Amino acid sequence: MADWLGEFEQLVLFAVLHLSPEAYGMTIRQEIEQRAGRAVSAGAVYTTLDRLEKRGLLRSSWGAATAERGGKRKRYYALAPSGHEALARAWDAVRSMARVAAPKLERP
Amino acid sequence: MTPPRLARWLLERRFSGAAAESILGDLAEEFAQRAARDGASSATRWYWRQALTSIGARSRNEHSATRASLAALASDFTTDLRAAARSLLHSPGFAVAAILTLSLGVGTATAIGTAASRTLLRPLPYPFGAQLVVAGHADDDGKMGNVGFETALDWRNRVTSFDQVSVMNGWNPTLTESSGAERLDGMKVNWNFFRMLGVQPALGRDFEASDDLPDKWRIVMLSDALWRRRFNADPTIVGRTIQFNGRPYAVAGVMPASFEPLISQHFFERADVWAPLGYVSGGDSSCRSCRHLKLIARMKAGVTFETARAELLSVQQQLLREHPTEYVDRAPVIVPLSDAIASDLRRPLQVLLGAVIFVLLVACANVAGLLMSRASDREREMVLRTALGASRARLMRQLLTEALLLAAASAVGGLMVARATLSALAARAPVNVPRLDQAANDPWLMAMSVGISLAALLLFAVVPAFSATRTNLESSLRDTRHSPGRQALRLREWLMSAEVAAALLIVAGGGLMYRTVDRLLHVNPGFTAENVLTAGVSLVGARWAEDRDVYTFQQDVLQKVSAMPGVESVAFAGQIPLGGNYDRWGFRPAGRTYASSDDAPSVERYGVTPGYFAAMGIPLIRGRLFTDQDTASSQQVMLISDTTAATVFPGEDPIGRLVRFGSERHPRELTIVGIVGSVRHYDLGAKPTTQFYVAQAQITDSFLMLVVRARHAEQLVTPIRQAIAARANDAPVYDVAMLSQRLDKSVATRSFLMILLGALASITLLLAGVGLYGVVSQTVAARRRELGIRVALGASSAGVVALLAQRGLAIFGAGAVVGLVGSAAVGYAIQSQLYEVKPVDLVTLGTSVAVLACVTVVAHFGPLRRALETEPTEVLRPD
Repeated sequence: MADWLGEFEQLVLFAVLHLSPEAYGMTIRQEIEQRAGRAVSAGAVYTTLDRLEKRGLLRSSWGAATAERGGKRKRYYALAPSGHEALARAWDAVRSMARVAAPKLERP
Repeated sequence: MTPPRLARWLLERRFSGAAAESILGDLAEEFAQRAARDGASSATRWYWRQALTSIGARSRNEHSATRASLAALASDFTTDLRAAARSLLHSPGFAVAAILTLSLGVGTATAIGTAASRTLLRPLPYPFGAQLVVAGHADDDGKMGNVGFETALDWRNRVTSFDQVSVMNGWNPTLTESSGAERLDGMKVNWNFFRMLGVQPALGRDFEASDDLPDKWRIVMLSDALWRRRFNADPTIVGRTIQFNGRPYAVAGVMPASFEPLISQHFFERADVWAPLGYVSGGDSSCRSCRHLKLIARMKAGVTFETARAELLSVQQQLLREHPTEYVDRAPVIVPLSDAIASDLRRPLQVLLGAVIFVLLVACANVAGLLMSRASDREREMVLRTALGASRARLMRQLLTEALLLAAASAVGGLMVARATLSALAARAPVNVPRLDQAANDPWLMAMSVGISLAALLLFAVVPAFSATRTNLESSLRDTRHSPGRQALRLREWLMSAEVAAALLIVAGGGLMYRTVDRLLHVNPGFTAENVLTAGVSLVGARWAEDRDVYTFQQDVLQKVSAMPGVESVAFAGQIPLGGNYDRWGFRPAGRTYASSDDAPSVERYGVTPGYFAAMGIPLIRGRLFTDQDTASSQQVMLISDTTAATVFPGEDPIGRLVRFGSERHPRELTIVGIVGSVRHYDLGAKPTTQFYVAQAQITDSFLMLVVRARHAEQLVTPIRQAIAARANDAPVYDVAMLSQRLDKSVATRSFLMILLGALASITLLLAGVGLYGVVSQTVAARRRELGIRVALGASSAGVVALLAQRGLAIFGAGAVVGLVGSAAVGYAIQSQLYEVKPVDLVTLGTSVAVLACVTVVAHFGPLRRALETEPTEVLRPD
């Protein structure tokens, strides 16, 4: 139960996986906006990252502070092994469900 | 380039520690990117959107009640709003009634409030406006009069509370430029006049002390309007000379367009031109006991009005001791200038303000009633929703949202009503209220509309919302026949009594004003105003220095005008009744001596040509009128009015008596040859005054009114203008009006008050009627079962009617008693506006009560009919 992922959580995990090692709040948000075409707030991304980290699916580390960030540090995220596994399982589930149903999903 | 500070602050409030650091850092970084790519404003908008949505996202995820997010609130509010709109649309009758009622109340209150505040509360638009006072000797009736120049000098020198003193007089020069003669309204002032107010010319220079001397004063200040109208806003006008009365005057400067000539407008005519007075102590026009100058003073900063007043009174006491024959022992009058200027409209506006507050209260009471009745209608809905798990706070919030929606609609409606009322006010107001016509766009007006609507609805929505949500689940659900709350009904009945009382107040006030105007219009002014055209003509300048030339002009014009079609009679007069001129002279019958010149009777002097009495319709009572045989060389004759005969010559025959008037040293002496009817000189409501008449042939005036009685007199304006221009192109024609218009104008303030109170009374009656109807309907609905049972048990129709009428009578009776007491107070409040009507007028009160009784009875018809049609079988059948 604990390792079931919500749709948005999956999007976040995919983004982290793809962007790593340059995955931090801003890039993750932009990745989701650009690829999934979904307007996302920084707050929502952060809340999700925070939750996934608490569930042990993500790991994070502080980067350096820069002037353009107003002296604030970056927080880099990477998938933890359990996160990797959870995402793969979710993807498998979607894929196997989709395989049989996909023909009917074609847009009119 | 940094992110918007407020948005950042909001984020900092919502996130803390590590979260704040990474989020704020991310957003700052992307903000910088976007600012570089899309520009600062686009980036700022993006940052704000991010900030607001992030706050929302955070809270939704936390499910934290204490951190209820703005976004969540907003979305809940939108839901509430939609629900409220739906629910109002389901009962359009209620919504329309509530919005219309409140719009009317709010609109009239806002309009009158705005007019009142602009007139009563607005400070004088001069830097030193608050320190200005106007002072003068007291007239016989205690009102403020004028002062003589020597007195003014002594006050200026001795009253240390005064910083500046300026005396002034009305001045009507004729602009005799080649572009056409025009009689202007203006003022002669001491050189320090504008400095005293704290205003400066926009162009040129202010007057100097060296201008204010007997042979130096031919220098003028122009108004912005005159400068634009007659001189095409020519900036080189300063220093040039222009012609007034055929003489050259240097132009000192032009006042700014923003300068409002309130002083001239109030005391004389709205001025377009100012010149120095040019008096010196001991000069020709300087005197002590005469009273032809208006005195305005500026108190020193920090000096209170009371101090200045006390000092002025003691200075005048000294002067009285020094010149005992020149003054009468009467304290001078001094008032703040702002009070003097606002006084014309103050009382009427206060009364109107009072009236609209009552209208507003009636409107609010009605809406409260509507909300209460709606609340009881929806009691079961509320109960059901409570049973299904809605919290009381949730229900209350929805009811309040409904009220908010109503308030918003009413505010819009109120604003429309207010604008319409204001433009009607501006068009009809008897006195020029500065910028009243522009008040419709006043942000304060809008704020007031919105504020009053909101306050009224929230106030009156809270009670119903509270009682509607305080439902007893168990009893309500069990008793499906639960009748609407008796308590709410009682409260509504009380509100209705209050409405009846308020309506009675306003109706009675309007009634008193109606009776006053009616009485005034039946006052015999002493002349017949129909079909009489009047127009001013003035003959000034070197060309008209000889009386003979002026008199020949008069004769020529009279001859030409009398030949015009339909003209019955035509005359010239130095002044006419209700013409706004006050030409009074000391009147000293031969053989009588007076201790001081002040003791002789003061009588209005009319210099007229023989046709005057026929043209005005003033009857000859005894003796003879003037004829063409009264010439400059024949016996000097005068006519007096019967009021003069009765007050100056009681029990004597005045005909044949000699009368002196004019200066003590060289008086004119005339023989009374006839007595004519009296006229009302000031206004219809004033006490009749005394008049005497002299012949233009013997004493010629150069400021004249032409009086023409003709079948279609109003069509003669252009021919008369042409005839006068052909005879003398430097003689301006001005102040053209039918005599009947002057009569109307003299009752204008009162008819204005009457019309407004009448309109307010109609609105209140309508609202009260609607309110009563609602209450009676609700009563009938509440007692429907009971009535059905009664009818089933054999109650007669009369019995049912009596039962219901009883409550109506109680409501009406309680309201009427309170209203009658209040009406007396209203009567005393408007006493100064009343004419031959007592403040407590039984006819008015009786009529008002009757009108309200009618409204009450009419409001009962519908509900009573429904009560009588109640079918016992129907109400007793279970649901």
